[in-house]
Amino acid sequence: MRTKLYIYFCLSLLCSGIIKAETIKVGVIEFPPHVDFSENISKSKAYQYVDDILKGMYSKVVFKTFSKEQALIELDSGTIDLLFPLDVSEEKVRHLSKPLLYIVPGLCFKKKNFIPILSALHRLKDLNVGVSVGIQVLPEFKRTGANLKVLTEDDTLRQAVELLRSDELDAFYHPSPMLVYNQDNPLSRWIACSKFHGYPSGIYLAVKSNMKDETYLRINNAFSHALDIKSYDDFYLEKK
Amino acid sequence: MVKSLTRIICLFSCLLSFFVSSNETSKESDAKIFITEVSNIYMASSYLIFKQQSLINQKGGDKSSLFGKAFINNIKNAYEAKFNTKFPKENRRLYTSLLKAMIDVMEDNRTLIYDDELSFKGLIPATFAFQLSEKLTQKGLGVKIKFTNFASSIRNKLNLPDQWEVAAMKSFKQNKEKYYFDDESTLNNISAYRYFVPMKLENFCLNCHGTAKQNPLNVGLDKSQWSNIDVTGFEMENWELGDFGGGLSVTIYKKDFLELEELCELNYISTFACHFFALE
Repeated sequence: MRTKLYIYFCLSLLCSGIIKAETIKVGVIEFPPHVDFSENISKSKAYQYVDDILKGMYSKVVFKTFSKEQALIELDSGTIDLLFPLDVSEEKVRHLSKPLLYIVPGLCFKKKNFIPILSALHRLKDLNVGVSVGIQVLPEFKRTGANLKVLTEDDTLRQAVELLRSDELDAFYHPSPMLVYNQDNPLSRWIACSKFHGYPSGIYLAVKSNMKDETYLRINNAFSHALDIKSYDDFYLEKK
Repeated sequence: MVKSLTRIICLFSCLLSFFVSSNETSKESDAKIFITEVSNIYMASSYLIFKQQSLINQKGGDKSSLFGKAFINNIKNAYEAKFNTKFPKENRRLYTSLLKAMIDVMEDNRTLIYDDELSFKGLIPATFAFQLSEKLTQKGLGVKIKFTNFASSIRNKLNLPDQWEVAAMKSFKQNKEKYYFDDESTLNNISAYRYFVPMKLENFCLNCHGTAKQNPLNVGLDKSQWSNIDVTGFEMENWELGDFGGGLSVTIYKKDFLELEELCELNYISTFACHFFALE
């Protein structure tokens, strides 16, 4: 199917004469399990999906991996044209109109303290919950009466895990807990996470602010068509 | 001559209006059948999720029947057993998308389902419905499914009823209808077909919504130790078998009811894509 998707884009773009003899530079941020820097990036599903679409449009597609902070600097200065995957609710950047995927925030617990259904908000009252500095938590969660403890170390996930282990935290808040709680992550052996269903946010491809409107439209249309034909979710599951 | 011409025009107009109106009626009736089937497919999946609670929550074992095609086959079997009729033919884009979304929801819960250290995973009919509806919205399919009830009886405020749903529930309570279908409704100001089917409490609902006596967490405990908090963390409602337990509300935007061919004709998706994928 990946081949078919690629052929489709090549054909449709060739027919409309918009394959450009140009290079496009794409920044990539770690976002496991969709983009995993611990393995060759070309094996990451989100990379493969984006690559399939862009190589039908440009003669050369250059991917470069960055930390999120550095990637935003590169995007702002225009040294990269695109950046993904990015939660745009946290960053005010120009982005494509359709999200590549969605994430849902949640809480991670020690397994013995696991709360599976977070709509039972009353169960969260008085819990000590770690929140990484700069992360906006859901207003509904804020109102539960949980004690929010701001995590400020460089690696807030490591800090949260340590505090959870020592019982100084009952849980930690994560904008996409499934990035932590998945079968590929050894952490999942002793933590379990549940989600605040009903509060999804989109993960997008961001574009540099000074991208020409014509270029933006071309890329935006290509991704919109691709997502209509085969969503990234479907692509991810097929390749898994 | 003029008289004859007028008669012919009149006859033609009558025939035309007959065909137009019968076409509209046929589309409405088609929509009604379709939305009922969507609702039934959902109810079958919900029933299956309940029936599979021990498998979902058990430690170890073969859980492959909860995923992929095996899961869909189980939904089909549950549908045929519950409604005593054949599972609808999957000749509509929305049917296949709905089934695909169900597979996706189960896949999203794979780590949870295989987590042997959690005795209760929280994947119950209500949370499955919620995740499914979320998935359908994300896929932009124009189908919304939700469990709802009167505000005083609702557990998750995200499932609060809108005005249409309140009217449907009141109408059901007064007229004892089996379902409520509306082909002239809207949701978010978009024309939609809406369907509400009331749900009477069945035995399996009472584990959470019944009395403390029916709470599985109290099994083996002295009555003085019984809790009226169910396994999900909510206070039990003390409802009884056959009570009104809210209902299932299904909305399909009219534009999304159109089939792929019509979407192609109307240029919702590119002509090239239509032809290319028609070859598949």
